[in-house]
Amino acid sequence: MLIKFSRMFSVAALIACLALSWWHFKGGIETTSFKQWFLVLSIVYFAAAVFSVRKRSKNKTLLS
Amino acid sequence: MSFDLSGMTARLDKLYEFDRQPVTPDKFKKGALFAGVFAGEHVAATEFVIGAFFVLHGIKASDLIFGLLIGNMLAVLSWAFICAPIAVDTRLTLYWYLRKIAGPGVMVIYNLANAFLYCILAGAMISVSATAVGLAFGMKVPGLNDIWPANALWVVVCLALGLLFTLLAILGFEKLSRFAEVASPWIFMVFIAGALVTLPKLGVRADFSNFWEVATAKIWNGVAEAGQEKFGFLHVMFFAWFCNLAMHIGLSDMALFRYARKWTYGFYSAFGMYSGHFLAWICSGIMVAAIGREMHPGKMAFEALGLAGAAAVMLAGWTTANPTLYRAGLALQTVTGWPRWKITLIAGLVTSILSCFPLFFMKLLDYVAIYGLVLMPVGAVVFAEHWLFPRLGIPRYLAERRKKVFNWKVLLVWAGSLIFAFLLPIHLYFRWLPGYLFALAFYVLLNLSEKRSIEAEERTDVN
Repeated sequence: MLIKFSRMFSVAALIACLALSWWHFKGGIETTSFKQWFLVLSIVYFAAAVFSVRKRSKNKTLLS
Repeated sequence: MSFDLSGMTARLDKLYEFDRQPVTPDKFKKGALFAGVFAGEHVAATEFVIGAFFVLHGIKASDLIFGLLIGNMLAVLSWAFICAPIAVDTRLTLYWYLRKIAGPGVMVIYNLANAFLYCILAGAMISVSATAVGLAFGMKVPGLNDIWPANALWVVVCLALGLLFTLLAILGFEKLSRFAEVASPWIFMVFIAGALVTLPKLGVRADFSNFWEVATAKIWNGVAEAGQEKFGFLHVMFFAWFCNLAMHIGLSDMALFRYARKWTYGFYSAFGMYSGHFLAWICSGIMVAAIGREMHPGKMAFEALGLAGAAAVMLAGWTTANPTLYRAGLALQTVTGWPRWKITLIAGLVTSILSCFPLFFMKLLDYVAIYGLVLMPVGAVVFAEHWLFPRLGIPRYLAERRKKVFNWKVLLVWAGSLIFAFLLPIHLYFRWLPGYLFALAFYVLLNLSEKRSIEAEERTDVN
């Protein structure tokens, strides 16, 4: 469950990065704020994705 | 260090021992896995450079779009009709199949050539990462036509990054390659986001109404930079086709497709081609146009996305260099017999020194062409032996049957077709195709006499 949730979270973070870029393209957010939020969302993505991959590989090791 | 051939081939065999047997049906993988592997592998640091170079080579927008569409389709067809069918038929890696055909001695030469080519590629990737790290120190990136390192800071950053990547490759390749899996979707997203936020700087309106106008006037405007050769449709098409020549026509992706349920899985390569070698190349072209057509991957991503962009270039360089260093280490291990850490360290040191020379990074397109060209004849030999020999009644796997260490005919075809290709008075990008056809014909011709000699051998056996 935790793996599924963290994977969904990582996908959501990627989609949010793209949505943020689209918003910046449309002129809805200024460049400095955009770059800061993009960095934050990227860190969120890596945290969630690394967590899900680590959990999954731990589970695989336990099963084998 | 011992250089006895039997020792080398024994070590080489031991290294690949685990995949000596053909893959059994219970180990076959689903198509989605192939799509994922291709999509991940073909969005790398090279994409930041290749797409940008197309702009600097003065390609027109329409030539780029049609060239990439057709060239990538030809690459997909090469995987589907040449590489995957042989892999599915034999269920072996290229290593073991070529060993049957060419003998273990030729395999040692093939591995050495591969290791050397891998080191150069990894070196170019370290240079790409260095452009991102150097931003923090205000480092000057070498010019397009530079061959030698232009400044001390460039050398220091390249060497430091090279040593760091080497150390990480020694400490834990498997964990790091898992991290690379995590990084690749994000890096792909960085390409798309970077290009999107760059478009307004080039004057594209929020409703995209003038996109084509901007693309043809400011990005792919058909004007090459000073000192850069002018490219057209054929250059792009051939480049997209041969970019992974060693993998499809050269058959090294047999290692992957031997797990495919059927040969049609070769079409899954389209997931890598049209995401990495189409979209990502277009995106890096847009980003380079926005920084005044300067070949500086770090700067173009930083200008678009800030720190995250620079981190993406750094990570992309590292995740591409890491497996490349690992493979080079593996290949060299068989020659020396040294422990993995020691040989990876040496390969890493060589790679780090190579990365200081901007030649490999600034001539990446030519290097990719040479890389594919050098390994292409091996693919031709295997193709001829697998498909043409049975149809022509020529016996197969004679090196294995006669326990030959070197199949001299393979070496002759390899060297002969390379000489033929390099002597051709055509552009480097177009040489591999006549070279491949030459290698096929030459190998068949050299083996026609075997048809009679094997009949004589069989008659002697009967008597």
